[in-house]
Amino acid sequence: MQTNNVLDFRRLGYYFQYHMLASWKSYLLGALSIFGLLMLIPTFMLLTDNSPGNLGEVVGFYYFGLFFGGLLFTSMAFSDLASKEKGSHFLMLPASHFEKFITIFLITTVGYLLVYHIAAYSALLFLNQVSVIRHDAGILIDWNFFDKQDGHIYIYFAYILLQAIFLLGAVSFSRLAFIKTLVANLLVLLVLYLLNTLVVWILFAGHTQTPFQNVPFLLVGARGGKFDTDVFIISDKMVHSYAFIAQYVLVPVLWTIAYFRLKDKEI
Amino acid sequence: MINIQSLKFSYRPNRPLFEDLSLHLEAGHIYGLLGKNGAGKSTLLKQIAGLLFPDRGTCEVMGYKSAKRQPAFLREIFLVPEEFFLPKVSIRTYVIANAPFYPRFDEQAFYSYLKEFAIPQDQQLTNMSYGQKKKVIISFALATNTKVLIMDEPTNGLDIPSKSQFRKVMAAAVTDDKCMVISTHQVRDLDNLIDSIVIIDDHKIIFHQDVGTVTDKLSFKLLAQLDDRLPILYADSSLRGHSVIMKNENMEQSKIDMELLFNAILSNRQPIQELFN
Repeated sequence: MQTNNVLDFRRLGYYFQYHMLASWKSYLLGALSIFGLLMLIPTFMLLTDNSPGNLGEVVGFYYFGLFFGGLLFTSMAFSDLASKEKGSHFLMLPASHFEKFITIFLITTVGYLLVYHIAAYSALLFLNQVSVIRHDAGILIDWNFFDKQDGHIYIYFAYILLQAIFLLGAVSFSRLAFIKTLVANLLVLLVLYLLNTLVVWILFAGHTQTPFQNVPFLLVGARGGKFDTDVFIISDKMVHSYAFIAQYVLVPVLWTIAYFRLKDKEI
Repeated sequence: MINIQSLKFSYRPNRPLFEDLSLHLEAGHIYGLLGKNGAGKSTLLKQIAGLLFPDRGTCEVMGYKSAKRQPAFLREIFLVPEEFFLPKVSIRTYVIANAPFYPRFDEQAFYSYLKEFAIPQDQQLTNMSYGQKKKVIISFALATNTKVLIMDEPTNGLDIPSKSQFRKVMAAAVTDDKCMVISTHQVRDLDNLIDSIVIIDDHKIIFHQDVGTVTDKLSFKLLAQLDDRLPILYADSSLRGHSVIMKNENMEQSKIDMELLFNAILSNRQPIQELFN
């Protein structure tokens, strides 16, 4: 029978089993660390007798943990490639690059989000219990907080975009991937900002107070108008185009590049 | 089985490690890949395994381009690197996790190899010495029954009894459909094991002959005194006398001295190569 060299579900299962058998201790330790860190907040509140009244007061911790933990975990996804011994073993194991990539991709996306949300929800229940015991009143848990209308959904889109960027960083930089990806992103943003500034300077020469009076690709502040400040903002159509690109184009493109970077890895 | 054509590869620009290197290896043989330090033995093995890609030329194993690392290729090749990785698991878990990828994995053979090497089967891999770990990975490699088995300095870290066990186990494992390539700089470790010699130097393969042809054309002797009338191609003097390589004009049978041959080819290549052309 002809071997499927891209995706064979039985082989994918073997690879998943192999990966979990080799890594379950590290993952368990990581999950316990997340849970422990999230529990620190209620413990701290218990000790300081300072209980939050509603979800909004603690959601910042949740977002911080989601982004910092998720991106750090993603950055370490291909750390085996930094070591010749582990890298050779990883690349020589008879599974396709796609199967190896998809396994790690699922663990760093679905796996992390699942574990993180179980930990975060447990911490919230514990925090609520602490609040009831100390103040006879629980935390006002309003799940509408996450409604699309409030724009919070975009935080998740941002997370998915950043996660895709850090996944690409994890394949590209085997050592210190988190820091290197962070620095590379800041450099890319700086270059984009300077490019945009150059374009603004060409288009609005003499009409801006400084060439840096802009938010790249979003708005430009120019002289003129009632208070000598005109603000030129991109149209709604453009905003929607940006959101569409970020949500549905950029992320799959980054995943695809990360996959091909893995295929091109040499040890 | 392994076909390398006009391979060019360099780690740094303008400093090629291989230039126009071609090599053809067949099934049913154990090849000894010999070369000085830095000659590129490990790099050549990595090219065969698909861990490095050619800058130019091709490297194919059983018709598969190594660099693509397709599963159909990977399940037919096993690399035992000089420095290898074994996870923090028991031998049993290692087998459960890794064996399903190799369709002809022979579990019974694996445990019999471990027994041969006197490795306790209930031990955690991380609690083993380097030599014990090496024996585990060699046993696993042999038990996979892949058609191509490549080993980079497999005897490094093995004690003297283990080296002879290694030769015994390897000799028993070779079959007509398998191609084994062993790279080493400790040529004596491969005595009586390899049946073909490949020497790499100066960016290319400078010698590639089977042991039978070598002993047909060359005679290896230990002489008390050197005699100018003898067709000596290379001599190495020691307290025991003079180890020499001569033209085998009388078709005498002698036992190959791999180390002597290796030194002879590196220091006096042309007259020896002419004999084989």
